Amino acid sequence: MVRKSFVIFVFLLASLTGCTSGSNEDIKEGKYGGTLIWGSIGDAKILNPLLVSDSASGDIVGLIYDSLIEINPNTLEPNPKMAKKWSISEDGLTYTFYLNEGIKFHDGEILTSEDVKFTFDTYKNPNTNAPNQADVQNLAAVEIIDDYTVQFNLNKPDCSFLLTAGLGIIPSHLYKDEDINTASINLSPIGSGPFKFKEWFPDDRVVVEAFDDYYRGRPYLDRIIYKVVPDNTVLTEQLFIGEVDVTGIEFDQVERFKATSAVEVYEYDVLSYGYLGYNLKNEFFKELNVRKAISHAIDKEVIVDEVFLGFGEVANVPMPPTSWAYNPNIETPIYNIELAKKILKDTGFEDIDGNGIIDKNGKEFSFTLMTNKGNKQREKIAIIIKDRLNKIGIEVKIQYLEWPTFVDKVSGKNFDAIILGWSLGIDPDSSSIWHSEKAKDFNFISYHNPKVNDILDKGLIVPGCKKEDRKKLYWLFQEEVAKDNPYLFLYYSKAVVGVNNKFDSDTGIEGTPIGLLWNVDRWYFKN
Amino acid sequence: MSVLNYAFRRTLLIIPMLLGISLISFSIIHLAPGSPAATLLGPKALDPAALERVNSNLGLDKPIYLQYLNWISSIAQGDFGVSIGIMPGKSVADLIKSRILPTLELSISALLLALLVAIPIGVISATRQYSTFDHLATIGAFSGISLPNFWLALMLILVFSVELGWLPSSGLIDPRINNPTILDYLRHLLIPAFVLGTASMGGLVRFIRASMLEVLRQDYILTARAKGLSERRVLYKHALRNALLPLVTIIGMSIPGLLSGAVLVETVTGWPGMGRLAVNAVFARDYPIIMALVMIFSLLVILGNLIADIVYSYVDPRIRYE
Repeated sequence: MVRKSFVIFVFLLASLTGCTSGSNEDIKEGKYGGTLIWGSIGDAKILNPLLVSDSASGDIVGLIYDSLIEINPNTLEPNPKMAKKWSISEDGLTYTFYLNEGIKFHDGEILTSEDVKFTFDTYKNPNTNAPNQADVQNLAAVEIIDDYTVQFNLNKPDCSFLLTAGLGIIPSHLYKDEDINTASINLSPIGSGPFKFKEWFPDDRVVVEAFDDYYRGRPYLDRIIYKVVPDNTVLTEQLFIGEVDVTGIEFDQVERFKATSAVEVYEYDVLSYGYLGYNLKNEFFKELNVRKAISHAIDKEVIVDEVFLGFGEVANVPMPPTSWAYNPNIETPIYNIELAKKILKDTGFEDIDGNGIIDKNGKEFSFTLMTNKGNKQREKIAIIIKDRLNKIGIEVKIQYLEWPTFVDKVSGKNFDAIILGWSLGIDPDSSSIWHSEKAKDFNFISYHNPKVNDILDKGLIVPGCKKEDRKKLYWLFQEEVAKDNPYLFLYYSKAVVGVNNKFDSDTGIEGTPIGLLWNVDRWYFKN
Repeated sequence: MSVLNYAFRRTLLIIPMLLGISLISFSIIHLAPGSPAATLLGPKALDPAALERVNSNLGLDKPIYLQYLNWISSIAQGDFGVSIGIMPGKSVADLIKSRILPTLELSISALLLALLVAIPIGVISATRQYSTFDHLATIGAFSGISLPNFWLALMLILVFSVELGWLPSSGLIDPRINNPTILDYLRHLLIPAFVLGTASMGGLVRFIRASMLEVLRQDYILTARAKGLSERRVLYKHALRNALLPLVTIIGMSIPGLLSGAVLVETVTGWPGMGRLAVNAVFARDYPIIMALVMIFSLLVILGNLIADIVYSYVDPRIRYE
């Protein structure tokens, strides 16, 4: 792995020294042909970029649909893709995209501004079951300037808007007379990406094939088969014996795979964090001192070592280290049970009846800790937290709930505390989680800090969206949130993916915050 | 009253029965916490506004009796609707149809395998009661009953696919094979069918052994022996036939089960069967799929019982329908 991280380091260096277009890189020439089998536990649900919410569907949609921009995996900056360039007006209210000409959908139709307008108009329509509709809340209208120029007008400046252009563009000529939520094209999609849809056998496989007329050149591989293997143990074994070529590896299996030469192991950081979230309306958790005491009672190192077997880091802020806005100066609260006990005692908690559980105003400190069933890591973390809090006299009842029930409780604010994680977008704006007035969609803990509201608002309207200016604001935001302890930030975990050794890529196979298969259209078989 | 008349009355009764079943299951399913919107939205479902918006798009904000009336009126026209959770927009009938063949393929081959092994073992066990063979068969049968399906499947996969490389480890067919032959399909079927077969094998062995012992104690066996028939003839011509009669009932009763699939074995061996469809639909709160499956299986059970009752009146002359 030392070698891998070195490669990433070199890439970073190259981009820092302003070396553009990779002129001094040897462009390797790949071989055409072959099939890659991508193993997944779950089947896709829906193959429409506006409607995807699960990773399986997202993975496949990424092969079939293309977007105006793409993310540079090393700098996490937007790069041109179907749009050859764009411009942003001085006031930050108008975004103009210039499309490459002659881009074809898989049915041969030409992709134009009309498709872009249709995609975003549909995305914004409240009748569309789009999970990420909040991304376009500041979009007022999309205007067609000409066939290949399209303009987005915003209600107010929004520095996070540019990345919304990473949305896959759907064909208006096929969708315009259909109900977007149930259209049959959602199940046999037609996009403009490097691979075209071939077949979908539910709970068994989805097959895509190389699109010969892809505007960036035909992918090397003939075919990618997304194979559903519902049992995790079997899936791991299939990677081992070569029945699947690519799939995630459980942390406890990493050593075994590193020992074989048939599979190359990639470890990389992802844009996410895990946390213990308190319902701040709860009579115990509304007290800052209680939350502080808990932060001293839980040894996050143990969670990273025992649950993630070291494939992760301790988290202290609501921003992963892979983000450019990450503030590294915030320290982990020291693990000290005695200190935790003292804080609770000073706050008025004492075990009066001697049953081992502390109480205040005649009420015992007991609460229910919920997490979603089936996530083994979160289930283990719940047990560790229960054990540690018992030591300071807090009784914890654990409840594992399947997802729809969990959603019911949490979105109804009907919980004491939960263990959950956030996968974040590339833009550091997190108003939807921490703002208490406007975009408070995911603020189910009822967090309220006017200062944080103010910083988050400012972060979106920085003149010219200058990164350095925004970064200062987001550092401040992280300091404020860390002070308030609304979550106990727990961990940043890594992703580990294995790839059969027979593959190579002319742009390198590389695990990045945007995944491992971001350049799979440039993968090929060695020899 | 003739059997025909009886059958006609029973058939008419099916309609109110199905209505009752549909009413009860529809209410229970909709009363369960959570909604399909939670699946459609994934992590974004934690936003109450989004949840409400999608619920309203799906028509789930309407009063439950209206939803029921909508559903029953489309069912009456033979329309099961479309999936709203696991594959939104896909016709429920198509989803179910695509599972019928793989499910029957697996369950019928498992049943055949179980019978082929269980009948001879059960018979030999009975005729040589308390012999070493009988003891071994008993131990084997109880092992078969007690071995967890998913564990056995995993072990077989580890040995025959991972270590020896003789058999594929999951799925209907290796997607890399372009023109699969019957043999390719059979190779994929072997592990799941064997695992599912062993589950019923143990019980069948015990059942056949008991049934055979029962028959061997009958007077007509004594008569057959007294007539001087060979032991072979006594066992296979007179005893076995009678001992297997109750087996027909058992097989008949297992018919709805043949179609409902076996979720654990399907999951471990990656078999796209009915069991996985049903369980995924429940987890996703995919109401149209759940309801369609409930109705189909209810109908199968009702019809199965009806047929059994009618057949009984022919098989057993003591039974009269009035």
